[in-house]
Amino acid sequence: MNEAQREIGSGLKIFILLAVCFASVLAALAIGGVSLSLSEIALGEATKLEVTVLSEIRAPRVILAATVGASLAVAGAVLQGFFRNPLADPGLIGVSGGAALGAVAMIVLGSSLALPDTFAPYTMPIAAIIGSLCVTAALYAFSAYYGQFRIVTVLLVGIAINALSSVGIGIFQYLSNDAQLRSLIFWMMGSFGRAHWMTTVPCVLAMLSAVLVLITKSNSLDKLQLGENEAFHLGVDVKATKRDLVLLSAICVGAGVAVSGIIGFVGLIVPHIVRFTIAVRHKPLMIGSALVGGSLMVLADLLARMVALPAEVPVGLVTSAIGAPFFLWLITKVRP
Amino acid sequence: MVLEAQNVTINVGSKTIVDCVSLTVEPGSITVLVGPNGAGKSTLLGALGGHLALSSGRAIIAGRDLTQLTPKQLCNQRAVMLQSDNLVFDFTVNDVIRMGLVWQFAVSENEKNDVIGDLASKCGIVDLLSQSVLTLSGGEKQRVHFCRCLVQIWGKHDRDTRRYLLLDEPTSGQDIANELRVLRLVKEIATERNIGIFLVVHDLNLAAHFGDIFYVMKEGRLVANGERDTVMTEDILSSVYETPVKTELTSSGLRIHTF
Repeated sequence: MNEAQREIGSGLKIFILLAVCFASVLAALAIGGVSLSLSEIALGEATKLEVTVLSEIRAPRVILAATVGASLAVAGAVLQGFFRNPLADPGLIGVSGGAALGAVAMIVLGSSLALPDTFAPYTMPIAAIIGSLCVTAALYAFSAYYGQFRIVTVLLVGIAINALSSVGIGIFQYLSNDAQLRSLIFWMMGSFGRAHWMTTVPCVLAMLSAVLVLITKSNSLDKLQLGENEAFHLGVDVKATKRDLVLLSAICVGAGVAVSGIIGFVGLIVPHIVRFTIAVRHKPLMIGSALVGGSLMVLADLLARMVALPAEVPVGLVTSAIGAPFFLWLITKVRP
Repeated sequence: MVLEAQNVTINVGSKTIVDCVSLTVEPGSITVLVGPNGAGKSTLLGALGGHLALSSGRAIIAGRDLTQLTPKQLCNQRAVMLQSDNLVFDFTVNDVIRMGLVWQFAVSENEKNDVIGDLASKCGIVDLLSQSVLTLSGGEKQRVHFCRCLVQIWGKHDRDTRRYLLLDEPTSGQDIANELRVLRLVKEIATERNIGIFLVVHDLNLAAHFGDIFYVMKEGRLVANGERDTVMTEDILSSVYETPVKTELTSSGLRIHTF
């Protein structure tokens, strides 16, 4: 099979994924506590209540789920490539924890900053992005040895960083008042239940732009797989590329965690599924991961909403239930 | 217009790995560097390749200091093959070789495929193109990276641009047939495409057979340099390797052996 046929092949698969993603979004919009007929709403035959449910409750939630899923999956693919580590996942190596620490700090301390309310949708994502940025930079500093990584070292450093983040989060929980504590717990479990357009839109835009810019870095990320010196010899500005990858993946994870809490394993599983089925090169890998991640998260959230009606299960529970066994299987395959 | 190291010193921590070494690689010829383990050969290659920072001295390509050139400018002038194997994901051989497509001028997809097919068959890996790199043997992987470096310096360039290929023990994983295959190809591109080759190699017989200019290093310092018959001598080699080395001029060339 030559290069052109391969391009067409992966293009076709990506088109199918796009259709799947679109179908999942439509299904998640229609199904729920109140079931909606999308065609009636489109034709203007629905009640006002139904329209409100769709536009104010379900639409922001589904769009947020799709974006966070896409963004975490792409961040997972990038971190795996960056650390040359098939076991890297934003949750496992502490990047999500760092984002959570930043966000929790902002929830608890933010009130004393006395910022105007209009800044509220931005301060928490920014704090979370800074948190995940610090963690990724620290991970690199602690686990790189002359540009080389050992698979286990990255994971061990991740454990240490996760522990440190939990200490920080614990301290802030202790400092928080009742109302803050309730919002903390809800959010630590990972959920899209609090999606409003006001908080959703800035984060969605940040995640989508970070994902798009990351896709443009795919060629350099491919070359980095050969090693940092080898990438340099092939014309990659390694320092600038690493800086961009760390910053952009931090935006993907931080903005996602800020609006939906910690949702584990999506960033681990999705890139592997795409590598098995579509391609290993980072351009199709990232595009495929965005689509699979988006669909998977929308469906996981749908399951979380429907499985115990009228109550809701945290979506992080659903993804971890799928992801943790997958992780175990992966360990036996990679043997770090 | 050459690739050269001028009084290059490289310290790592408090240890001096390369100590004030000067060396010149000329287009169209094979410059060979030999020396015992730990002599600083790979570190000197790193200085010429531009990925190691110099403690003092200069590395110069075509009259310009390497540090003044961007990675993009450099990648059109030289390719470097290191002794490393970092791939962890299932890239195909074709994927890896195509990473060498960093050519300055755009060419059609067909032309690219022709070059890749041609070079892959010269490297003896054309049947492996669609396989995952992770399934290959060490020697096969090494030839894949060798092929990637050839692709990199194959593209059309400015007529004035001299190109260089830096090879760090490219035959360490090869059987005797492939050893010859790789080095014959190196000789061919040096003479036919006027590419300057810098070759670090352990096998003294291969070095003597394929090299044009010889450098010998020991403990970070340059011990000797020049033409084969003045450098690859019993005296110099015996003292550098601290082992009695015999040389013998036969009808097929210089033979170097220790027993």
